[in-house]
Amino acid sequence: MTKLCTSRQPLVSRRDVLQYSSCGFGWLAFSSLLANSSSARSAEPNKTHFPAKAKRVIFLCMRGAPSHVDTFDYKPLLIRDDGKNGPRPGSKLMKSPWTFKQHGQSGLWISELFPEVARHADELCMIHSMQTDLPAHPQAMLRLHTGTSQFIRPSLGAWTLYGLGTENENLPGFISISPPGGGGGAQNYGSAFLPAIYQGTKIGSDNRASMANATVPNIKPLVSKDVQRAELQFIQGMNHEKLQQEGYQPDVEGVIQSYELAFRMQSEMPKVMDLSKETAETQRLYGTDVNATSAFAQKCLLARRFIEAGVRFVEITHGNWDHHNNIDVELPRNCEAIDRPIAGLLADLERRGLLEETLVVWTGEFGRTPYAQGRNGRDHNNLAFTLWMAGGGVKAGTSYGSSGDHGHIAVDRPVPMVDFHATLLALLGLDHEKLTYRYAGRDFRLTDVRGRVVRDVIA
Amino acid sequence: MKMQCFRIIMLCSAATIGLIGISAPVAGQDAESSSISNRDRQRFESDVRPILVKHCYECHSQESGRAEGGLLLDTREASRRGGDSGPAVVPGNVSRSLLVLAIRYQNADLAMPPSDAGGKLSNREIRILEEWVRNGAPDPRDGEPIEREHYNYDQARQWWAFQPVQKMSVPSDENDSWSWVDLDRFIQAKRQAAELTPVADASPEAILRRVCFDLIGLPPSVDELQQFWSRLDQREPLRDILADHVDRLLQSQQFGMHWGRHWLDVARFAESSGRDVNATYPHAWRYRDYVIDAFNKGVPYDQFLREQIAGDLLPYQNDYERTRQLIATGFLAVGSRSLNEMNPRQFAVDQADEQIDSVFQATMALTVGCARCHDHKFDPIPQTDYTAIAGIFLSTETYYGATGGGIGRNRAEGIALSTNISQTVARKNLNPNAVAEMKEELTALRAQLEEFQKQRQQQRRQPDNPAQVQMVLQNRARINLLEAELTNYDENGNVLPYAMGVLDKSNQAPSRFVLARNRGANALTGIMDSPLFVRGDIAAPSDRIPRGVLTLFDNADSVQIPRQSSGRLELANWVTSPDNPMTARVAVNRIWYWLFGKGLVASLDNFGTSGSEPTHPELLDFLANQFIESGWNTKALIRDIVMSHTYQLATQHNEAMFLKDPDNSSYWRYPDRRLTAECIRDAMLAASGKLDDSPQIGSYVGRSMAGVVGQGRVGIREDLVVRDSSQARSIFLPVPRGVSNELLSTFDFPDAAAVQTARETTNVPTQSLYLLNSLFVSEQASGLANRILRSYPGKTFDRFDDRIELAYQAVHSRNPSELEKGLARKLLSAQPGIPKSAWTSLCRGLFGATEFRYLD
Repeated sequence: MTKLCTSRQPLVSRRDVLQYSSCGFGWLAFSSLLANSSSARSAEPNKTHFPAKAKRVIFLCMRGAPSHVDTFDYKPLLIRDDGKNGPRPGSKLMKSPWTFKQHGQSGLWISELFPEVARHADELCMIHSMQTDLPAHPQAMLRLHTGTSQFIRPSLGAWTLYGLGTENENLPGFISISPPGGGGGAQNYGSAFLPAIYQGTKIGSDNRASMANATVPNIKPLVSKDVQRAELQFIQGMNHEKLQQEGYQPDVEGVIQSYELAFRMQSEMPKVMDLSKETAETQRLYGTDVNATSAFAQKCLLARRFIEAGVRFVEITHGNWDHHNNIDVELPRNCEAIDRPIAGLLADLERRGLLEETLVVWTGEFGRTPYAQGRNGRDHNNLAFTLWMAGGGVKAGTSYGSSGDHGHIAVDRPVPMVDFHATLLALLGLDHEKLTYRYAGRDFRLTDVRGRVVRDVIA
Repeated sequence: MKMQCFRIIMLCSAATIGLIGISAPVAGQDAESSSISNRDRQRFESDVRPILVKHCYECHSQESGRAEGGLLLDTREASRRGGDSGPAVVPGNVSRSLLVLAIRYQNADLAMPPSDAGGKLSNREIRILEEWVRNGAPDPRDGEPIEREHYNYDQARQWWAFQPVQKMSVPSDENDSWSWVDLDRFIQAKRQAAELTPVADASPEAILRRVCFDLIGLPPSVDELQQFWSRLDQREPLRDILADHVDRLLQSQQFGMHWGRHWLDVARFAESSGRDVNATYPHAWRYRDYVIDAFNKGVPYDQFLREQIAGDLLPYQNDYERTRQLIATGFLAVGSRSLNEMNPRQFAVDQADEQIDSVFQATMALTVGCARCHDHKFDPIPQTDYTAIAGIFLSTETYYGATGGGIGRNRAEGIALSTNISQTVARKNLNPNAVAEMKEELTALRAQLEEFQKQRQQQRRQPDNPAQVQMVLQNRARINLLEAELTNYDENGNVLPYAMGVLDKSNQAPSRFVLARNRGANALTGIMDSPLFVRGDIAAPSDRIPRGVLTLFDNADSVQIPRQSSGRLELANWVTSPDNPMTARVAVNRIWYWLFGKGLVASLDNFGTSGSEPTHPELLDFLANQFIESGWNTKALIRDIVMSHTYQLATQHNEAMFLKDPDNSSYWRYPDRRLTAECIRDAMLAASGKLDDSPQIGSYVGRSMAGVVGQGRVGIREDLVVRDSSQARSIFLPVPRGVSNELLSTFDFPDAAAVQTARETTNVPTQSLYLLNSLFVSEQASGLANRILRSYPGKTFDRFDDRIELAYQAVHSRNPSELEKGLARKLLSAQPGIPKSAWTSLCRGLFGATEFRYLD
């Protein structure tokens, strides 16, 4: 067999990718499936542009935009100026009702809402000067995930998988746990013009609380393995026929690949998703045993299991953080739900030696205003917010940039979303200017024509 | 498209850098200052300006460097644009001018100038300013206003979608032999200009399949397919045969079951409240049936909208018509709501907001809800406009018929329908004894509760016993359920018909229907104008803004809302006026989307300035005009489109065209697309012969005891929704929020959180797993295998050609190729001994093949 056809891993060069369709990648790879070679093979990872600091990503997306000035961005002058006029005409500054303390050797300031994460202060790398284009949720979610809300473009996870390939051909390379239905919906884990195999596989929906017994539905075959192989051979034969006739059919290629993956997932996925395999000690570490934290804890534990099994990009969405009002009650409730699970995740990754090569990212789509909305809330703020990273070659125990005296606007070394994207790819060993995909006669990039790697956050 | 990006980037970079830019002078500005008469100019300088300088400039001028509340009053443009809450000066309109409202000092939150800055103006000064505004606020101050991080409304008003629909003449090109109908000529002209050539026509079978799925959501039956072929064999022109089919499909009652579902996406239709409590809406199905019926009967689209916004206020001939129109207003009631909201004012305001958002997105593709807390950031919709509309909906009582939060918080009944005519009901009648038993239980529970409260008063100082508290809560929850349940029956156990919907609030007394614990809600009872809530905060009500419509098109003043009615009828008439430039365009664009898988305007539900521009503006306007002139005839428009050449093109790829126009925005081919979840399901049932295509009465939700979406006992069971075993058309499946039939959710059924016309189409392994391993697909495959073996009995390979042709016709609406027959033989030989199993496998394979779920 040719190099192309023995490789079931997504390939990095666009020339190779284009050849998928011409030589019928799916069909040939599928032939090997029929030859009973469906057992996991060690995958050679794709070559990166430069040595990678991180090999995989756990992306914690706080949908609705958490308030940075109440969580990870300490603003003493906001406390001093509480009640004074805010930057927006007619607004009044509102200090955080929660106290901040310095933690660890690094002395990073973290609010009392995150007592457990605070223990990991020395692993965190905070960017206090994040900015995004629009203070509107759907647009900003899409901007965070795809780089644009104007066009349909591949998501971060899809680009990552496209760049790095998968480490486990029996599992989806990109999994999105409980993504939101709205706010850009499936585009946030979509592959757009990239082949459909790079699309995120959704597990659990926004509203499902418990993941304890979560499975991928219909993972168990109804017929014997031989009969199923015969059925698949028929289906793929039909698909291949359609592909041949129509020349260019990315959707059909996507279906072909999705059948192959589905077939292989049947044996692997239930094992990976079986949380009961974890010890009671580990369960407690994440907080699966406590009501307030169990849902998010299960998701974090699941993420670690996926990462360990070779999934390239796992995203967990949590929400809602859109605290226009009732922030005094709802923000602490949200923080409690995720604090211990995230701390558990960091500790667990570390003790298993995974943290070094796993990049953990925590962010919302934007931040909130230092001035009050109503009496008990904060409005959208796209001019400054905090994103933090841990593991995966980031400069641990540091902070970068500043959101000014009150947290209203990034004044020191602002990091627009596109720079974060460039940086994320750089940590993964990918040059954002070289990671391109040719579609309809043009080379597309996650960062389009912009993007600057924030070198100072890379260790 | 390009223009749009540019605007957004400009806007964003200004916002991102936080610069305060200077706006360009607005066209026409100088004209205004020079057109002011000398008398007006003199009066402004002698009377008006001194007041403004003396009392306002200190806090609201560039010179002072202050713009409290985002407001500057030192230029004409700035005063008219206003601050955070809306325009300060609306020429000629005293009640919409916040400046006037503020100086009148009627409301403490919006009283200007504040007491520490001189306090209320003298009566003379107030009169001068009022008079000035009433006379059109002639203002000679030409200065360029400082741009806040704020949109330029004058510029936004120039956006294409806000301009009148133009009469378009059809491009005429004598050499155009490609076009069949007018719409083709628009497409062809543009395509030619871009030097693109269309691909060939689709095969006759492909066109038939396309038309059947697009019009009724089902594949052609095997019989239909064969009749179609035999007519082709007799050399009848394809066009005539298709025309017959199209007419028959448009007359079929299946049409409404497919197109009705499209509208239900727009209407964010669901059968429960979602959010926190997720209580069921047992009467929602009536609205679903109304929509199906409206499409089947060909109710003119403008009337269809009017009925949904203000059906309760329309005249009627008899109880049937009245019933139909009341049910139509279910549109306003089926949205999601937080039934656990403790503050009744907040609940009312949130509900009105959901309605405003839905009405404007569904009809005009405008995101008016964005202007709830501040002026709209992209579109020319000030918060005062939002508030004028909010008054309309706050003067409206919504009868959503749900049990409410645990102990009945925000519980509401439905609208009682006339019992003088025979009404369909979802439930069975009860034995009168059962009703009596419920009443007895209710009495006993109430007595128990009273007893407890008495005890509690006596031992006031002692802490509550937790077990007892638990008991009381259970008791109250049960009381709530029984009360809700009992409303469904008369004394004799006969089911009473209710609908979800709205009625105008009464000015006399608070409605008896809303059984919520609505203490404190008094401020929002009756017909009323809404106060402007500063920054959307219900604790900060400012002046009341008279009910009215949007000021977007300069015709707001012509809409007069009578004192005694909410204004929904006037709003509905304004929305559906032929002069409204958006409503017809939005409708035509959606119909185009449902037939081509993409809109002429890509952002189907956002025609505002953050949306897209049309790829074919002339065609859009041509179709919109035609639509209005046809009497808003949806079926006629659908017929025109599917009989066009553009619609009947093949989906064939062409490399040269693809490189020139990868998005196919010139329609050089028909854009293939995946079927919706409902079509996938219904087509499998049709192939297996199990489809029940008759209209269904009620729904699982409507038949179940009122309650919540959960594990059963009261309300409905999630697992029964996920694995519903019904064989009815998908539109009749239960659709509570947050949970849906497994096939539907696997294939991207929407979550009904908001108006959403476009369907997602993901392509993920969970779909492959569903097709390979689910019970439903297995049942349909086995049903089709039975059908095949019954038609042609025998062993596995007997009558192979007949069988395989039937299988392909039933699933793919065509005959198999020799290669495909070879693939099929190979599959059958995997289990040759058992014909049923072998053919079941084959049928599953046919459902699994990509072709089945795509419309080519």
